[in-house]
Amino acid sequence: MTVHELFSVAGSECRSFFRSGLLWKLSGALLLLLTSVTFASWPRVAAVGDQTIPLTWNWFCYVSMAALSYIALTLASDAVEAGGRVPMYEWVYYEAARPVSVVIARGCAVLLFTLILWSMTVPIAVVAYAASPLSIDQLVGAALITLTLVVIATAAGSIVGASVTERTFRWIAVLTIIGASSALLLIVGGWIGPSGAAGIVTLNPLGAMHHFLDADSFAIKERRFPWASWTALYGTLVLILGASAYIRLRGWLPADDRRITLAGTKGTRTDRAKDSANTHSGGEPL
Amino acid sequence: MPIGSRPHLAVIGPLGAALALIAALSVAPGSAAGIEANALLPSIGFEGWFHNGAWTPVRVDVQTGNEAFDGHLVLGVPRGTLRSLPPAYVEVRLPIKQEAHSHTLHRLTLPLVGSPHPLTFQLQSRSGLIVTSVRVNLLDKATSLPIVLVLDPQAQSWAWLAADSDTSTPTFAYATDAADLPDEALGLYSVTAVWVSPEFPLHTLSPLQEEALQEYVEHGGHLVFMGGAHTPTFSDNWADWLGAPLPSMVHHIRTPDGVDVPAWRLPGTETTETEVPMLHQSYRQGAGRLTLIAANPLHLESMRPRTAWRDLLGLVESVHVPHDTMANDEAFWRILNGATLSSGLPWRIVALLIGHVVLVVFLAHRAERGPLSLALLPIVVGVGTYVIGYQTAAMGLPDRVNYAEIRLTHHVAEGVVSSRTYGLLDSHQARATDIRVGAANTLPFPAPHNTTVDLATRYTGDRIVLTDTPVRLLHEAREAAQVRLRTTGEQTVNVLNDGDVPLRHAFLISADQYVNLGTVSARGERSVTLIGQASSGRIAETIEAVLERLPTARRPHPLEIKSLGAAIGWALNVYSLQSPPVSWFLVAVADGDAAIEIPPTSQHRRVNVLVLPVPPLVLQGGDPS
Repeated sequence: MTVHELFSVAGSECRSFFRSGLLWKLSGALLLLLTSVTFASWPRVAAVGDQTIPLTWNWFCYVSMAALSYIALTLASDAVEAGGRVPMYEWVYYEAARPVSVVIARGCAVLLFTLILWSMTVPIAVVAYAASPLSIDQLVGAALITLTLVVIATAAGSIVGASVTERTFRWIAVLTIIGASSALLLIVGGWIGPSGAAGIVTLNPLGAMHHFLDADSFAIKERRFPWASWTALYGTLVLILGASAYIRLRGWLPADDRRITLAGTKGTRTDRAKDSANTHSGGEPL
Repeated sequence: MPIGSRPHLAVIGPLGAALALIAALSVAPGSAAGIEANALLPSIGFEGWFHNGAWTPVRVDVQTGNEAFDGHLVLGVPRGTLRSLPPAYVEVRLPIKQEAHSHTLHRLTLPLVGSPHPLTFQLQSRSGLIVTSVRVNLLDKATSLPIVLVLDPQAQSWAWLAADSDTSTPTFAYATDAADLPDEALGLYSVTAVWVSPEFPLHTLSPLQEEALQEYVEHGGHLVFMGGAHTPTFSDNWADWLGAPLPSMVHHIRTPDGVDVPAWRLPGTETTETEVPMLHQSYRQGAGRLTLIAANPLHLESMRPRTAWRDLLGLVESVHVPHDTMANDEAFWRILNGATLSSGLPWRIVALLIGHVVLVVFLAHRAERGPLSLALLPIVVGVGTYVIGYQTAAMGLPDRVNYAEIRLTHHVAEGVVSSRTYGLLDSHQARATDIRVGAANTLPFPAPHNTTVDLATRYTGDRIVLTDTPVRLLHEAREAAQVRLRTTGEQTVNVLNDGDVPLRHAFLISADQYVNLGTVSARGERSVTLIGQASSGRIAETIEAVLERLPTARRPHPLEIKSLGAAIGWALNVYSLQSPPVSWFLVAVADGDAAIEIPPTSQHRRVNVLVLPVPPLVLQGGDPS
C-alpha cells in the first residue's frame, strides 16, 4: 500500500461522485428529507407550562443517522450508478491497486462524500436543534453515534462491493443488510419485543442515540456513556468487516499465469487501471 | 495503672470532658474573643401588622461585626396557609457586601400571608454557611381590620378614637422616624389613612418616601396633617405637590373645658375671637384625600363627638381594596397553565430553509461542470448556518422561554385603577439557565405542580434571576384610569376611552344581561342604553360563547376569551358584596404596556382585561345626595 495508490483510488472515487451528478441528487434528496422531517415534527403550538419536550431534534437525528448510513452503504457497495466509477474488484483485478489500498481509499472517499452531504444539513440542524436544545455533550455524542454507524455501513458496503458483481444483486444485498441490521438493532435495543439488558440497550446505535437525545441532561451526567466498550465493540466490527472486504478482494487478484491486459498482453498496473477507468462504467468484470 | 483498675476515673474522665465541652459551647461565639457578631434586625408591615395577601413593606437592617461580610441576605417567604401541608417558601436572595462595623437598610415589598410558618431571614456566606438567622411569626399579625399609620415621634396612642363597641377598631401603627416609612407606594396601599403629627420631621423623609406618600394619596389614600403650636415646615416638594394653601399662622382655640389649645389658623378662615374657629379642611388630591386638622384631635376631643372625628379621619370610609377579593386568583392561574402562544415554525425560518436547500442543490448541480461551484458550497453552507442560527436566536427559539400573562385592571377609587398581573413563565432549555425578569413590584411563586417545593430567586437590582421554571409571577400596581363611565341619564351609560389603545370586545354586564359594545376606539366615546340581551345561563359562559361564535377573523385569542370569562366571574363575586352592590359593570380587553419585563426573545402573549363598575346611584336615576 502506498500513498500514491490511496490518493489515486480516492481521487478517482471523488471525481466520479462529483461529476456523475450524485452530489446534487443525493444532497437534494437528503436536504428535502430532513427539511420535511423538521417541518413535520415542529411543534404546532407552544403552550406555557407544557413540559412536553418537542421531538423535532430527535427526529432529525434519527432520520439523518438512517439516511447517511443508507447513503454510505449504497455508495460503498457500488449499488448506485456513478458514471465512470471503477468497481472495487477491477482495481484489484487489473492490479491498479492493492486490495488493502482499495478498501481503505474507497472507504475514505465514501466517508468524505457522506460527511460533505452531512455538512450541508447543518443549517437544518440549527433549526431542529432550536426546537429542543440539548447540551454540547449530547450533541457531540449524537454526532459520534451517527459517524460510527456511517463507518460501519461503509465497511459493510465494501464487502458487498468486493463480492457482488451484478448491480441488481448488489441492491438485493444492500436491502438485505438494511433489513437484517434494522431488525437486529430494533430487537437488541428493546424497541421490538422484550427489553434487553441495559448494557446491550445502550451499546446498540439506536439505544446510544436515545441515550444522548434524552432531554434530561442531569440524568446524562449520572449515566456516563460507555465509550470504551463502544469503541472496542464497533472498532472490532469495522475491522472484521474491512478484513472481510479485503479477503473478498484478494480473490480478484489474478494468478500470475492468468494476468492479461485489454490488449491481451501483460502491461503495467497503471495502464490496465487507466484502460479500465476509460472503458468501464461499472458492471461486470472483464 | 490502667484506668480500668480505677473505676472512678473511667467515670470522671468522660464526664469532665463533657462538662468542658458544654462550657465551651455555652460561651457565645465571639464574646470570649471579643468578636462582635453580625446581626439582622427585620421589621415587617406596620409595627408587624399587615393585611392578608397585601403587598407589605419588609425592612431588614443588616449589621456587621468586626469583620466585613460578603454573601447573601436570604428571605424565606412562606406561601402556604395550611398546617396540614409541608411548608413551602419563596426564597428571595439579595447580594450583600458590607464593611465591618456598618449597617445597611434593605427594603422590599412582598405579598405576605398569615402563614403558620414563619418568615425567615438569614445571612448566608458565599459558601452557603448560615451566619445568622431570624424568624418572624406571621400568623398572629395578619389583620382584616383597617390599619392607620401614624407618623408620630412620640407614638401617642390614638385608640381613644375607636368606639368601645365598634368591632372595626382600626389597628394603629406608629412610625417614629423616617426609617419606619416604606419607600414605595405599593407598600402603603393597604393602609386606610396616614396621619402626620406636627412633631414629625417631614423634611427627613427621602425623596422616594415623599414620592411614595404622594402617590399613595393620588391613588386613593388619605393623608391627614395635624396642627399644633408650630406652623408646618414643608419642603418645596410638598408645597408644590399640595397645591392647597398652607396654614401660616398659629392661634389658640378655647375648648369647652376652658383650655387654650395651640392650633393652626387654616387658610381662608380669618375668624374673629368670638366666632367658632374652623377645625379642619379637606381637599381632594388625585383620587385620594388630604385633610388638615387645626390641632391635635386629642386636645379637641371635647369639641366634636368621637364619631365625627372618626369620620373626619377616614376611619369609616376606606378606599383600600379588601385583599380577600383576590380569592379568584386561582382561576387566572389555571387559565395561564397551557395557554397557547404561537403555532408552527415562523415563516421567515421556513423561507430561509427552503432558500438554503434550493441554493445548495443548485450549486451541487453546477459542481459537475466546474470547481467554482464546488468551492462556493462550503461558503454557502457556512453563511446559511450563520443566518439561520442568527434568526432562530433573534426569535428566541433556542431559548424556549414561553410567557403568558393576564392583567386584571379594576377600579379602586375615582379615576384610579389597580392592575394585578398574573404571569406564567417556563423554559425548555435543557440546562438550568438564569432567566431575568423585571423586579419592580413583582414576586415569583412556585408553579402549580411545585407548590410544595421551595422556589429560589435572586434579586439583582432591577431584575429577578430565576432558574427553576415554570414559575408564576405576580405583579401589582395602581395607575390613573384611562377609561371612565358616566351615566348621562337613566339607563344610559357613556363610555369614555381617554387611552391610546382601543377597548376590544367590550361588554356591559349585569348578573343576567349583557350589552355588546364591540370596540370602543382610542380617544373615543360611546353611549349605550342599558337594555341588554338576557343571558341563557351563567353570564361568564354566555359571553365566552358569544366570542367563540365570532368569525375567525374577528374572534379573539382563546386566552383573551377565557380571561374575559374569569374577569366577569371575579367582578360578579366582588361587586355583589359591595355596598351598595354594583348592578352593571364594563368588561373589555385593553392592550397596554407590559407589566412584567421578560427576556426580550421570549415567546409571549399578554392579555389586559379591564373591569369598571357603572356608578350605581346615577344609574338608578337618583340623586346622590
